[in-house]
Amino acid sequence: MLSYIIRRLLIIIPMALLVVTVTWVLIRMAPGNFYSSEKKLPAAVEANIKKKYGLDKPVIQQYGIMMWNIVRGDFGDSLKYEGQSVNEIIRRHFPYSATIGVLAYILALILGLAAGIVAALKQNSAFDYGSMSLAMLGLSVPNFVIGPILVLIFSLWLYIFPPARWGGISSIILPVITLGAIYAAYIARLTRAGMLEVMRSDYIRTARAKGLSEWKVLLKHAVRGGLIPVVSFTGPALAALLAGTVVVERVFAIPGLGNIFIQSVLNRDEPLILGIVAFLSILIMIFNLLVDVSYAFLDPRIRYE
Amino acid sequence: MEQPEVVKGASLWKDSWKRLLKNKLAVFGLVVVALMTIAVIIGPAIIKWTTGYTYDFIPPDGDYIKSFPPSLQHPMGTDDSGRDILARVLQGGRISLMVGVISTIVSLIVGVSYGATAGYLGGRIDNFMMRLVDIIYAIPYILIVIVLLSVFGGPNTPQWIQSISNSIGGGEGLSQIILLFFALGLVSWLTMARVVRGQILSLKNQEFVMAARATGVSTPSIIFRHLVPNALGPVIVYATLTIPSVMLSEAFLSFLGIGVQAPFASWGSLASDGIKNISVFPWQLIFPGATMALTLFSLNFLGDGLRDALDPQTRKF
Repeated sequence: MLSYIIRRLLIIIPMALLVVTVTWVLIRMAPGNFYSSEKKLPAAVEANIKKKYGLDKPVIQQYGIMMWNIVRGDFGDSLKYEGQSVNEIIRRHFPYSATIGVLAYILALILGLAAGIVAALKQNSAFDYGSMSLAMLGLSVPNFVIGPILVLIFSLWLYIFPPARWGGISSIILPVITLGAIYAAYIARLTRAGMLEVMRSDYIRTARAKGLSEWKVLLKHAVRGGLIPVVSFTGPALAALLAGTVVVERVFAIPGLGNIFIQSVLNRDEPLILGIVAFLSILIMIFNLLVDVSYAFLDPRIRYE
Repeated sequence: MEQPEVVKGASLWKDSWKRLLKNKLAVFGLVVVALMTIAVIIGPAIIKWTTGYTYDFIPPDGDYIKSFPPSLQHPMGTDDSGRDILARVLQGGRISLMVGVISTIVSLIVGVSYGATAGYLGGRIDNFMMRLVDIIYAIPYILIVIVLLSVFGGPNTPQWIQSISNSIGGGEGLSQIILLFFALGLVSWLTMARVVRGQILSLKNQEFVMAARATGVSTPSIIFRHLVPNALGPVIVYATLTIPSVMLSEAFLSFLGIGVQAPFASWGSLASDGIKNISVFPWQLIFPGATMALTLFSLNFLGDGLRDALDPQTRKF
């Protein structure tokens, strides 16, 4: 188990470097430059800019310098936010995205698990149909529609929560609900399907045959197995969290990393794009590893060498 | 991709169809999707015929406020420029549904060929191909879409996309939207490739494949004529669920201002235009948003129903 974890951790570094390389190739494939605009720059100015950012060197050499710096953990300075290092920008903006993301995920877990388990135990009941239709609705309404409608109801009509900006708990509630809704819907559906499958499996029959109470069967045996699909969802969900938070950050004017990332892509801010992509890909890979490791704890039948 | 031969044992499809019809929610989804498709195809012409409004008709009078609430004349109200929202929602539906269909077909072609090839060849090639999928997974798809749009957009638009655009009567603007369909398809094939690869892995050691190989059938032919048709069930199911997800992606891109541009409209771009005025003119968001939500809702139910119908093992749920 330990050697498996170490091996997976070691693979993360070359994989992240590959991701950075592919991203760099993608950025370089697109025509234009971060300094190009409607007006054409004089040749001398352009030459100076190229020299300053090392763009006059051969492409291979540029790639080598960039990779060498990245290996040492230095992504350089942002091209648009002058004088600010990429590491600094990520450190400053990530906490906002992380706070909202984690809170939304906790909310989604509580709501989704509860709804999914109850729906599975009372299959084909009114609660089952009601909660699953609600979950389907959560999957079908884009969150940039949910967000503004929540603002309309709770901020503009009822005056309960502020419509935007960051500050205090009351300003977090609407973004967290907006972001959490879709995850809650996913988790509820996955939990229900997983629980239905597990409740029919042999080991649950064995547990019942041993004379365990229904509660013990449910909590000690069924939930652990039924959670596996939910856990596998967690890894990709984190990747989707970036895209999800962008909308929430836009709608609620939160200075998070998602918005910065979109801006950096539109600005062609190469160091910042590479920094954020590398940061997120490492995060995703670590989460995927945690997911795989947690399988072994949830289901004793799964082993890693 | 070659057209697969007629699948043997048509009773499977008949059976599945019967099972699908028993599922009330799936039938509801099917009916709504069918009605929505018809409405979107003939709706704009009917509106133009009865009230004279089109998606880009701006009334010439110089009123200060042009966005009117729903009325008999404008069942969904009008937008900032005074354009009829119903006409725009119907016109936008054409683009939104086209995104769903075209992008899904693109992702289907790429994902199925890629996954089937990796799964059948196996070994190092499989390992390399699937690691590549992992790497592309880790790159935010927005970045890939933006790069694809800027590499192949504007003056660099491939000739064949321009000719498609011209053949359906659109110009420069429409060709950019068609490009967007392809770009979205090219970022949505990853999961499809994984699904297909898994299916092929479990199929490739069966006797019929060995028999095909023994009789000297070529590798591409084994993959596309023998293996892929047998993996069709999960592929269809996953494709139905890809449609709503690419429609959401398009809406998201339009929300960011990268997707569909005015005077063209999609449900996503209409909703994101409506967000700006939510406090004053809520109908600008609510009608396009609700239309889109209803369609996605139905597509999801239909996809779920198809999964249950085509895969009898999950029927017990």
